[in-house]
Amino acid sequence: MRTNPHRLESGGRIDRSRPLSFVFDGRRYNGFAGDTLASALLANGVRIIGRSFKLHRPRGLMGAWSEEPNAIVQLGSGATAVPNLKATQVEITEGLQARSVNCWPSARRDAFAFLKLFGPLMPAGFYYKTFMWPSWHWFEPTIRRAAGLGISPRVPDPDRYEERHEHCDVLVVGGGPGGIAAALAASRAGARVVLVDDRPVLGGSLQWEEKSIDGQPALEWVAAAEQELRASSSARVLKRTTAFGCYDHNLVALSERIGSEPAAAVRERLWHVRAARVVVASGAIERPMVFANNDVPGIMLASAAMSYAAQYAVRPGRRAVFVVSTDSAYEAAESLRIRGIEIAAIVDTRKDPGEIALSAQRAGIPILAGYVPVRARGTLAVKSIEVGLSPANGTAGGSARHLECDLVCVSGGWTPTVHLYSQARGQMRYDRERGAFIPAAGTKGFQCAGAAAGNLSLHQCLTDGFAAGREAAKAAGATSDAGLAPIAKAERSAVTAFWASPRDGHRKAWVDFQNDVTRGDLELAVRENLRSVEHIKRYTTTGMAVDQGKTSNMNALGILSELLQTSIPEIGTTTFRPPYDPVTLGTLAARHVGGLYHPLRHTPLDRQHAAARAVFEDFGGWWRPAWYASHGRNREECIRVEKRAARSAVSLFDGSPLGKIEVRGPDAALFLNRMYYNTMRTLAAGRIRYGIMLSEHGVIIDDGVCIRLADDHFLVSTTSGGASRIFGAFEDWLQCEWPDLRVLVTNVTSAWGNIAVAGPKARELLSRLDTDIDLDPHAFPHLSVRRGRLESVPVRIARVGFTGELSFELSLPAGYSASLWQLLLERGSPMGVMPIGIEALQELRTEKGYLHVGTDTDGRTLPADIGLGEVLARKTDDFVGRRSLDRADAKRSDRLQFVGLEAHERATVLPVGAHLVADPKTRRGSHGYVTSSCMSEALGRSVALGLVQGGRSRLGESVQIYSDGRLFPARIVSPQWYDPKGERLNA
Amino acid sequence: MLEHRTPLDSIRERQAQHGPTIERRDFHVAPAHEKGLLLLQSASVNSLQEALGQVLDLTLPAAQQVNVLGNYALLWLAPAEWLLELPRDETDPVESALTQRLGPSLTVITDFSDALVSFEVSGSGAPETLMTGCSLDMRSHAFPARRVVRTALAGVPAILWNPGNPDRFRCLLDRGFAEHFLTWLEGTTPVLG
Repeated sequence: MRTNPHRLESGGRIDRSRPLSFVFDGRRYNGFAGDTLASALLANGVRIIGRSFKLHRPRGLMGAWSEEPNAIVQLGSGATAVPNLKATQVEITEGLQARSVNCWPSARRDAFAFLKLFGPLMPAGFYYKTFMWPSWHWFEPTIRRAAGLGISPRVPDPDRYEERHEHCDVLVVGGGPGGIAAALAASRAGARVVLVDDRPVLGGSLQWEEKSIDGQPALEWVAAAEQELRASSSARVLKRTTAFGCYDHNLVALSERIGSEPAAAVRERLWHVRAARVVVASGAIERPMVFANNDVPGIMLASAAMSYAAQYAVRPGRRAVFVVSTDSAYEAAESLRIRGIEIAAIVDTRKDPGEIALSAQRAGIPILAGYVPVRARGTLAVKSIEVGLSPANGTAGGSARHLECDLVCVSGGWTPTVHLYSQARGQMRYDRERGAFIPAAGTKGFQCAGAAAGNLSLHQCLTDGFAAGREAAKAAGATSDAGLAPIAKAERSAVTAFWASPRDGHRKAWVDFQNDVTRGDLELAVRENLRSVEHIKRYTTTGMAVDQGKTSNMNALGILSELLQTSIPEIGTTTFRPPYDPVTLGTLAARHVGGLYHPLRHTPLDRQHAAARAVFEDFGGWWRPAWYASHGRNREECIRVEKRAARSAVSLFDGSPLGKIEVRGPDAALFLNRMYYNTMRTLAAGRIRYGIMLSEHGVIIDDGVCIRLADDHFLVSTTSGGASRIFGAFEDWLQCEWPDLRVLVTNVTSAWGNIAVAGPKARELLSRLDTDIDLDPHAFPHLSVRRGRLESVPVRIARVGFTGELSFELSLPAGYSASLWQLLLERGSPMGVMPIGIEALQELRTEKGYLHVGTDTDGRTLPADIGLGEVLARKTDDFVGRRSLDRADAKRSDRLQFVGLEAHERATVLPVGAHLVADPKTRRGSHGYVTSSCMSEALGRSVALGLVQGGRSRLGESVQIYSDGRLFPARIVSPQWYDPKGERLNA
Repeated sequence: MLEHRTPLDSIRERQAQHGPTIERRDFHVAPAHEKGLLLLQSASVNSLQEALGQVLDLTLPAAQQVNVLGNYALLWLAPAEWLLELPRDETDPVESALTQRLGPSLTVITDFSDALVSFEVSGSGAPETLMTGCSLDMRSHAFPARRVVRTALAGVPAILWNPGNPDRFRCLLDRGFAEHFLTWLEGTTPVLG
């Protein structure tokens, strides 16, 4: 265990009474409650926390919160590992395990550090140019393995994630002074307010700046404000919560970090907040400066150095040089000075920094005005910085000064954090004075406030935030008086944007630290004639991925402006994308995992199936028996037994999930005639007709039987997974295209249970039940329907089936179906009745040659492809999809057509998905593929169905079917294997 | 004679044996008392209005509203579509009486008693809990008494309505999702603070 050699003796907002130990890169350290991983590592003297993405250069801390581009770490291991977190945002807990990424074995001693020697060979876009021959795909696996940062766990995440919807009048993003003022104003005005901040404590920069608000210490004001908001029944304060995305109609997505302790009930929560108004008070990010070797560990943002010293009581260095172009950095220098850190000099790029520099000078800090950074020296840590007169003030690099130091604090300006505002399509304008893009005008329901709107002084933040909160509340309908805005001392906060020093020979100067993009990469892009900032972004990767350009975008624009000789406003900005900060996949998935990922419907016979040891699977969104384990020793045997029962005795099949749509009204027949490919208007009452439905493209989308119960009353049967889709299509056509038709449609799928009784003894079984329906084949032929009572319950019996056997489908109110199922099993026991699952049914229909839409058809299959072309010639009425069937492509003779396939070896079951190879020698080219396949006991051989090019004109042709390195000789045949005359069906 | 069962029977039996599914002071969920349900669809609103008045003395509710009279509740579901909740044993007689009075008008009455199941969700934590799985604001200022919506709850289609108490809701779901709904509620962790 190491002590904290760089911890200040006193101060900070850490809890020194709660020491915590943690492990980083295999070594144990300690810190205190309130520390981030970054502050604790810094306190322990660990300065190298990561390696750069491409060249594996050592990288230290640049920032202190979400702006940090370098210190990417991986937490935990195994299932609970979390990759790609910023050490600056990780709160340490007892036993925390963290390690650096993109390096081995550790960040300090990285075996891949030699890659920096190849830097000249790896400019922007090098992989686009270098790995072209023989093929990019030849290199891709290796490059993919070498690229990336953290490593995703390979096993399911055991942690729990929640989600929650919220509605409010005003959502305030950012808990700094501007955000708190906005939330107070909105709440006092009577609005329902949600205030979110991604830090563990409110206050933002007030946590490390020593300011006063309303005459009291700023943090006391923050505490009182938080108390006031929490006491209000109409306000909610969410800390540790990142607003990461803005979507349509003011929907803002939040990620709340609840608990990282193993015992935490919920780890993270996803919030969907719908706000009438959104105030973005997300602050501003200090900019680094671009100069040679500006990525050496020990070079960090001035505000970050102040945060480490004041908030975490950590000494970020012993002797610091400040290189600045802002007034705010002087405050940081003073903050470090009073905490015992020697300030070697403040190097100000401005020729005349004004009174603030004189004030620092009076405090004993040397000032170098009009100087710019030339290069930093050091490899694993900064040792000195060379500065020279600015080109504007003399010869670049002239009057060079070497300043020994172990800390360089940079401050090149401030960039308002407008990511969410930009995602909401808010417009921005370039403010030359501030050297930043700031919001031009509020987009609908969205406005920026405080530093996010370009107001850098505390006083401005408070007044602007308060006004924004008050206006937002008013716009949302709140009418109470918000009172007066909090006030702070007015102060100067001048900025002169500084992007980059003049080029220092061939030394690299980093623009985007996270993506390893240098000034040279931008120069290369411009030399290669890329002009659009969007193109340059993609070519160089600056501003992309996790970082989203937090510290790099403006510097890149400044350099591009110089290179392209174009003003920054003319170059414009790139588009910010969600998420603002990385979000775990667990949060995005929330509770939609495991059994809740895709809710499945249970049939009314669920308990009966479970009692019969059904093996359930998801079929079309229903939890259905695939087969029954009680029927044999293994899956194959069980399915075989079930099929045998259906062919030789009687079987029961739970058809409840089949879609059932009632279509009623005087124009019902006309409507269905338009919806079906087949003619339905001539269907007689009490009769049933098989039909298919097409999309407007003529493609088969569903099939089933259409039952005419009365002249103005039809029952449409759809596939189980197609019920909602077909019902929606019916409504769509009726409401949008044919509102004149007098038709009403009702989806009654769940209202009715359905049991299919099939097999040669089906009639015998039904005759053992009490019913008023005449089951005689003459009175009740195949493809007809009868209504009556069965065991005193209303029932509809349809003579249809999917097995090729004598079949009766019994439909009755769903609540009775379990009882009827039990009765059928009891009465049918002497004749060998048996429930069958989906697998047996699929094999029964395969050997009968019945196609299954979606299995034996694909997204291109037209009616003629399955042998129903002649229906089109006979039907004169229009129907959905008709026009598409006249396309030349629909009439091609080499289309994929539905056929049967027989392996030459009778016992060989052709693999589903296997292709008929056009050239068996090279095994290249496809003439179609196998769609269904099984071993048929009834036929004494294997059979398969498939889609084959010009298949019906190739009956009898021998083909080779290829799968997994094997060729299967087979023959194209008609699929009508079982009972081709339909005698069993019509029995 | 066949026995009639719904998924709620199984849930009641389980709860009778093992106690309530969810143990929270601020939140309770239980199968609602079983009622009959008639789905009313009409292209002739006046005729339906007249028939309902004659048979049940009920008026058609406005959009997103529920009209309650004694044992009857009439829920607006969509333009030209309503759901009538009534005592189960009155389903057939009321359907017949309405059909008789509707005459030739294009109105369809469908017995939905077996299609949907109804849960009663109550307690001060009910709005917050429902908002973990429903994108609507379920709190009383946004979801007052006698309001009804068709929405998605726990990832499945649902009809939610408030019978009169701010912390009491009825959730009507497809019978096939009854167990899913309870499983989902069991795993819900309320927002603290």
